[in-house]
Amino acid sequence: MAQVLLREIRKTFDRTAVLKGVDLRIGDGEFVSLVGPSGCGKSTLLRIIAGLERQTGGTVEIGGDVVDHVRPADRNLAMVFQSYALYPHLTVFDNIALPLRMRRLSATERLPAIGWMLPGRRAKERTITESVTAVADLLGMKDLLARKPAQLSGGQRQRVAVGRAIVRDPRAFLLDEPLSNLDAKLRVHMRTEIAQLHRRLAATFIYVTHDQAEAMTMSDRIAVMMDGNIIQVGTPDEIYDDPSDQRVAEFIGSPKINILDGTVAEHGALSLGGRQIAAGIHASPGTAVRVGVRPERVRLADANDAVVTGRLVHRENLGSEVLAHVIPVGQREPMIVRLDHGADIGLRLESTIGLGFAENDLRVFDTSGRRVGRYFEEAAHG
Amino acid sequence: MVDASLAPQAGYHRPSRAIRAETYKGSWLNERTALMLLTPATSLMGLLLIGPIVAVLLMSFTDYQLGAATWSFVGIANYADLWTDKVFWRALTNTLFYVGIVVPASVLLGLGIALLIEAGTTLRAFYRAVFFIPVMATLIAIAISWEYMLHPQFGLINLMLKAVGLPTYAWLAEPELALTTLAVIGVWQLFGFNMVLFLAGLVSIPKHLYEAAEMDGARSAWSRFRLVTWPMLGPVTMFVVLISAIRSFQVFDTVHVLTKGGPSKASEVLLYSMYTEGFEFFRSGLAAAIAVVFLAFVLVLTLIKSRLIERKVHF
Repeated sequence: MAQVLLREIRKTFDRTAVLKGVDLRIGDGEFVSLVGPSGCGKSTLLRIIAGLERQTGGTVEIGGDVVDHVRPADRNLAMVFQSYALYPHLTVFDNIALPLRMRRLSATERLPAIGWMLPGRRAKERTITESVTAVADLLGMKDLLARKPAQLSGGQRQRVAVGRAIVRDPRAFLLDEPLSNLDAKLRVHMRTEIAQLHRRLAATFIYVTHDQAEAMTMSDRIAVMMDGNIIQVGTPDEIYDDPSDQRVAEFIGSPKINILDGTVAEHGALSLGGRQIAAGIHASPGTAVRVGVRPERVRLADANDAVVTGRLVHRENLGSEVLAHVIPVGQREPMIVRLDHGADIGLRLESTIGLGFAENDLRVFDTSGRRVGRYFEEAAHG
Repeated sequence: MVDASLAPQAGYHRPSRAIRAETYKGSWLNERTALMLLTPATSLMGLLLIGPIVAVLLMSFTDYQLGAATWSFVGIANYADLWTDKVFWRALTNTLFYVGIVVPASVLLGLGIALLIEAGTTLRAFYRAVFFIPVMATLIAIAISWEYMLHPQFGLINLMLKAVGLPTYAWLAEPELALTTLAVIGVWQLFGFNMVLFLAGLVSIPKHLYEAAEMDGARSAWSRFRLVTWPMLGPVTMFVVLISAIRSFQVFDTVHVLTKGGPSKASEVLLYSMYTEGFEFFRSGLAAAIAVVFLAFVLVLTLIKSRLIERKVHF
């Protein structure tokens, strides 16, 4: 296991910059997710770490060694592909055994028929069988070993792909959207399994996904990528509670964070469609800002302490909770309010309701999307 | 909510059941319509494909001669004649020898060149076109230029051999060389076609498999070929081998133009025997028997393909 260090990674395809100087340190044994919308360069970055793509600039360091001119086979990394990339003509056993055979057997020992006559092939093959069986045990697919990939379900194929990766002892595991071909239910289940696997192996995992829920649930740290840059790296809590950029705030969290238009008033207060609340903002009065507040931080409020009022246009009942869609007065975008089960009793569609939220739950961004500093945040950060 | 959503569904099912009952009532009418609609295709197939084969099969049991007014059944006499006919056996072994050279050579050459073109970065379309030219050319016309090229005195090939000090040969006139020379022309004509099929097969191999092979430690080009390319090309290879085998069994035009089966039957092949029996000696019954033997070989090849190999290359 090893630490992976990326310095100033750049990549251009035909003059289009896909990665614009990415720096990232992935600690030994850490689970780091690269998350971002499609086209942000996250898969390219993973392929550069693997060596399947050559970077235009910058260096990749694995376990202290610069590997820029080392071919993928010699970087000693294991990769799980989005398409699984199982060899369709080989059985599950042979698929998992393959990386071991490629590394432990010589070219002549791998020859069909002749290889078996060489001394030592049988002994090596026995150790390979032991390793494969152990992996199959770990992943609970001992009875699938004789099957071919075409006879497996999507989840089983995914498991074989993971098995092929963990059967040897690579310096890091690279996973490229491994769950995106599974149905929703199985995806949630595999999320848990992969996180448990990471704990058991205590290995370095680099996980690429466009699904913020996967990143939030499995990672030690998340790197959010947009337009070829990492715009924020942090633990799931930091990314969720303390986004440095409006794009991060909007990408992480479901339902999406509510964004309201506001202006800075006197003494750092905030004006949202007429009403003012104290917010301690570091900006001159009259500056236009965008204010983010998470759906679960918005509460129903009566007319005299409501910060915004709006018309209730839609209600989504999810059983454990209810999502109320409100069009606030004086705002461009609708808000989503997350209410506990039963808290919506008495709310009628098309009626006007008041919404309130605490000063601490507001995240203020300037019009270019950067986070705006506030007095109490600075106090909290020391 | 639940009631409201179920009710229209139930109502939706009822008329469909009624329609099904109606369909049963009119089923004999439907069957007749179906048969009538099948008639054009079936009769065309009978007339153009099955009919001639049956006719040839029947003819092989007669003493019919081309243009004769009468004929009679002779049982298996034609086959018995073939069994004792040295020329027929010569033609059969010559054909198998020809197939034995042309199939492996044209398949391997086609695969090798397809791999080279696929690995190349420039002039790919040019190479594809160049190697495909022999396939598009009319073999009869091309055979004439081969005849000039192979001419013992002033042929280009012998001139070139002479220029570098190598011995020259009468390529088509020496019994030990004639059939091999024809086989080389056969390979030249066929490999471009195989190359195109292999190219199509290579393009359809997912790139991810090569990347997975690289990550798994397949370092050499040979191990990537063994692990990914060759197995993934299995279905294409099987098809290519079968088509090559059938096409080389059919060798006729080069024999007809260049050697006429000679010298002293050294390049006599099945279809050429059939042609001479049928159209030079007018023994149509015997020619039909040779045609049946030929068909039997092709049929066996097809059966081997569908029964044995198909199971192994498809996963």
